[in-house]
Amino acid sequence: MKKYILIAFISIFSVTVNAGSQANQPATIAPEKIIEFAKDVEKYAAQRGARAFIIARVGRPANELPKGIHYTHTAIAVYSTIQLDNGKTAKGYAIHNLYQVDGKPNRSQLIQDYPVDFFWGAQQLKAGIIIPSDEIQTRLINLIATGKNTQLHNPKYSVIANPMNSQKQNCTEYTLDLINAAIYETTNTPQLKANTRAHFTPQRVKTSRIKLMFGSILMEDVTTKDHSGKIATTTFGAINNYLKQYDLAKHSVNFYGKGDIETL
Amino acid sequence: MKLTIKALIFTLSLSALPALATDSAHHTSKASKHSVLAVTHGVASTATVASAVIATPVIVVGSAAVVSGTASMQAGSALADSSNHSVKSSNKSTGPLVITETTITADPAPNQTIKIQQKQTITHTH
Repeated sequence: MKKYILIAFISIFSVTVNAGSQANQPATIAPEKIIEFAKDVEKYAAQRGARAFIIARVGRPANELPKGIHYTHTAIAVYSTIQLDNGKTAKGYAIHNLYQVDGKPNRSQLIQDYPVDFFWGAQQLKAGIIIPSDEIQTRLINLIATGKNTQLHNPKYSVIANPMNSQKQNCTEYTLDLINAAIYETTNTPQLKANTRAHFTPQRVKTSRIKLMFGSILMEDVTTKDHSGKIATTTFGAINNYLKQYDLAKHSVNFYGKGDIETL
Repeated sequence: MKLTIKALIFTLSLSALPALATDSAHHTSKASKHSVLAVTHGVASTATVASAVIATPVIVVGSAAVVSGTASMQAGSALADSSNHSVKSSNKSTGPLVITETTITADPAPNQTIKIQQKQTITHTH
């Protein structure tokens, strides 16, 4: 009997890991809808003159999301001139992401993609959009255009990375680090982390210690080593609260397509 | 049996762990996505799909911020590629921006590109 329990335990975990951290997930929403939605997101941001904005997607079924967490992946979208393989150029948003490395879930890499790529594996046609102040937008663009954003990348990945130190990093913490680098005009990580500890409030992850303990044993991309005390991490909502608290957000919404929005 | 049920409940509760905060999975290099996009392009006449070679951030350029020696700029703010290092950025908002109707996607990884090409070659020869 114990043998069967162990097999069930391992198999369920294997499925979960594959569903969460690997790139080879099929689209769960019809491709035509993803294409249309991705373009709607672009047009919505462009209509508001956003040259750089924070973008988020829902990569998990809503009923699997922990309380208070609404998005699972966050990045920076930058209005760009895009050279196409057919020789033409086009204007649109390029998205600057931190993604897990295929087959190495505890490692990450920086990858630039486009809205349709970004939403391809989404579980809902819902986007988080935060348009920061004009000055922060300009600084984010400069950070990325000069390549200084790469100085803020820590390839040691954890799903529940603690933003108060630089031991681990996930996509949302990387986004926060870019925002803080833009605010403080530095890529000095110790200074940025000191500022984060002083001014940023991360989101508590409400789950049991036992779950986390087993998670960290069985899953490469879950660790609590970088935490002391209660587990808290960076989320899209926490970034929005942070920017709004310091008057650095111009416009924040949950976007559902075709102008259907919910102001945050 | 009780032990089995308890173990199952515990296991299922643990399975929610990856949803804790992030899903930093990227979908750029999926061969399947590119195949689907190619097919979708075929049926939806309004949506064209193109692969991107490179994207350059666009910066706002104010006339006062243009460094001497660059091409003359009209008064007010304008947009320029950041690859033009001789201009300085400005914080001015330019109002609504233009967005292409083309659906742009990143190219798949080299090994997946080869697989797609091979698949297309097989399809064409039949």
